[in-house]
Amino acid sequence: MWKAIIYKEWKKTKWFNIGIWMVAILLLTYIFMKIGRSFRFVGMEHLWDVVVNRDQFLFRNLKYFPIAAGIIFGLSQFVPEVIEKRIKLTLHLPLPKHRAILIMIAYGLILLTITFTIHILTTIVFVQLYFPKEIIISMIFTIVPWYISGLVAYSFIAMISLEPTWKRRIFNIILMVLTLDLFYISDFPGAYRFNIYLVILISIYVMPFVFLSVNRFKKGIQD
Amino acid sequence: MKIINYTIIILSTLILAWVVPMLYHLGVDKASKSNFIYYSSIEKDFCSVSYDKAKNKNIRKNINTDKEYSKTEFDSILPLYFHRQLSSEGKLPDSINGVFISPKLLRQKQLFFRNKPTNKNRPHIQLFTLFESMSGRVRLELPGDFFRLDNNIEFINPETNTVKKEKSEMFMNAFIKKGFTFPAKGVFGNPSVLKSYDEGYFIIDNKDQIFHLKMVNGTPFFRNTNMPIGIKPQFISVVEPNDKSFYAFVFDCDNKVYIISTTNYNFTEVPCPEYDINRDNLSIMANMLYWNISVTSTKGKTVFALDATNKVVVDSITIKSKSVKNNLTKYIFPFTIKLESYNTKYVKPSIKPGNYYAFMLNFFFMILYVGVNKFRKKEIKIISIIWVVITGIFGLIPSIVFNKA
Repeated sequence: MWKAIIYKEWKKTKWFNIGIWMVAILLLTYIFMKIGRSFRFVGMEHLWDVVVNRDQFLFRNLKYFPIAAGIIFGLSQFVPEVIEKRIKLTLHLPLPKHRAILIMIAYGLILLTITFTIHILTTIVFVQLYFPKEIIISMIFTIVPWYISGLVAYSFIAMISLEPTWKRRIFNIILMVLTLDLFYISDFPGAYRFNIYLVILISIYVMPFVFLSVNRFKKGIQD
Repeated sequence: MKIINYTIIILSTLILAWVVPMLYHLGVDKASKSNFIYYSSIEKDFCSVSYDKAKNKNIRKNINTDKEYSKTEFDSILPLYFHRQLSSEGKLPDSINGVFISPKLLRQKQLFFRNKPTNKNRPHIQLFTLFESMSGRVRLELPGDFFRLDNNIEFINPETNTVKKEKSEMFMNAFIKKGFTFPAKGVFGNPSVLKSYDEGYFIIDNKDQIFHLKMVNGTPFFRNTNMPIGIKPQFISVVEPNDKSFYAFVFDCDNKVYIISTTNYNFTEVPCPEYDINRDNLSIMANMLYWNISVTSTKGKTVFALDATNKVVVDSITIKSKSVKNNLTKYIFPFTIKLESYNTKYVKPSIKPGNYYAFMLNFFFMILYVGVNKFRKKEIKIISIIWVVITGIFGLIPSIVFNKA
């Protein structure tokens, strides 16, 4: 049964997924070309100098990609379920309680995690050709909160979409916006270095929120 | 499902404890009244420039006598600060207090130094630019490599991203020869090509000794400063002043400030008002005759005037800060969460408890919670009552909004 659910999810989100991958590739190509241009114009030493001594961050363009990916992917997966009331069918499948939703959420989170991991690893593979480990570590500590915000955004979108009442949905949106703000407090390279665990903890903390919405949906709560 | 609902209430409460005080401060905070304080070599007293809102102009006055000065008069009682202006008007005296002065000498002895907490508390990529100190060129040039200092010293060529083995070995030998204990606790320099000369880096080793590293004609210049026993350095600011009289300021764990002299690396304590490098701002305005040491903290501003020759305090003044911040937060909120601070570039959560009144107010919010739920004919939960009593308004809002699981 779980294979069928995953197939259904894939059919539903395929083009959005491909779209996200395309944007991911184009974004990295753009960033690499931009950095390549700087290499040719000012040389590597100058580039290292601005990164090390003037706190410039070369990968700022990555900032909103993960959160946008998380929101778009979440909407593509859950909005059709709600608009076309397909979720009712899913919830009545002969599976243990919440198993179907769990598979759907796991599908989304795993796919996004794979996409983000490949994106980060590709960036690292490129960066390690031209920059030393110190700059790579600083880069990782700067971009990881942005990527985790993509997973958090996805979890919230699932929660908001499946919530049966508009009143609660609005409060959930407010909670999502404020929670996501935690990942964008500072742009300073390496600012989250000592609190990266907190960022990871938040992403795990919000994952079960969707089950409350599902439960309220099943109960048919109207207010 | 109740547990998930409670986790949502907890998250919402904590986020409100962060967002609401932040919005409050965005709405009501005003800039604190700043005033520049100078020590006048003519009046032998502290003078200040501050903006008077009522008169809509800068007021220049002697702080102790309250005598006000015009702009021109102010220049003339502070010739060591405004010597360029006086010089252009032909009003610069030949001597002050019997000491001969000239524009060249004044420029040479002038120093402006500021240290704020974020200079220390910030993420820094542990790579360093070591300039050639005796290149024979007027302008400093990038050296073509960066060094790292972990358990050894390595120079990396940025064009190839590879280690320069020969140079690394040459410098490593100098480190071993001088008894440097790896790994380094801190590497401090001033890697800017805009400065007039280079004194390299001051490095704290694992035994809290300070070493001086420079590159002279492509070879290492590495010395132990033989710092006096009892100083435990936590931060160094390399200054490279025009008169080359000293190398750097050393801030130790007892909040004392020292200068490392260019004569045999002598350490001299600089008398300084109570200063916490992690919270306060330090500014030093030095000239031929006096050093103005100013520490600005939440309590106010304290300024010491030191004799430039022997660094003895000749005068001091403290101006307590008037609380321009409307500090209602501690009366309303039982606690507030801060994730950013003026004292650090790191994102760092900190919780500040409110005072007794805020906790009293929590009982009012608890009654409000009961009243609202009774009115709405909703379930009144004991656990929510306890949560509102502890967290006040921050817990009240989510407890009402997310009442039903």
